[in-house]
Amino acid sequence: MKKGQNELLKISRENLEWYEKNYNKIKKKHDNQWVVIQRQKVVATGSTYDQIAKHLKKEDKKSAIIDFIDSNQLAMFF
Amino acid sequence: MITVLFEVPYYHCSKSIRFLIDTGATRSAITETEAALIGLDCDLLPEAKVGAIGFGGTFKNKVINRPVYLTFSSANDQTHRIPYAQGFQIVCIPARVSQNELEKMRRYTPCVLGMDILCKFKLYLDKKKVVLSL
Repeated sequence: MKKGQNELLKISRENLEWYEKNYNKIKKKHDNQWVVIQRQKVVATGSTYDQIAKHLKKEDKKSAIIDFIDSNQLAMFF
Repeated sequence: MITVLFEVPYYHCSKSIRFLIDTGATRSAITETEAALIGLDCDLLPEAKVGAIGFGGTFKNKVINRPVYLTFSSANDQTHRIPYAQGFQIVCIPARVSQNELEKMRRYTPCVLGMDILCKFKLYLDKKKVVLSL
């Protein structure tokens, strides 16, 4: 695998690990919002996907965690 | 959820994507939203020949008509690159849905790793942990 791709995967994993570790804190602050996690911090928030999509940088599109925070627990069936 | 590096070399695009491990899904798929973030234009991709059905109803999916590679990384920083010959599916949001419905689908529709990929691994469920091993 190329060095750049390895780096991309590493950054993404770090973002995900940070997100999972800090999820409860992020949830308290950004409930019912979209969040963009990059470089182990919240870099953008918005109430709709379109709002945050406008502000995504090229780097964020490749490796950021983009997720909707919803404190209402939903049962998921797929 | 598991983070996987998703690449489509023909279109020069790659992105890390979070997938839901779904042993109930026969096929893997990414969402139209993720496809757009990668830089794939769904309008230019062919429709899947096989229909798709889920609890949301039936969907007309698109397919990536070029080889796709999925790279998994392990706890000891080793990587495993899995080729997916052709036909990786994209779950498309039906046309003419309201803005509200569109937003809802974006919020709650995950990318899924189905049995077409999971069958290449040994899969263990261990309390709160899911372990994939080759």
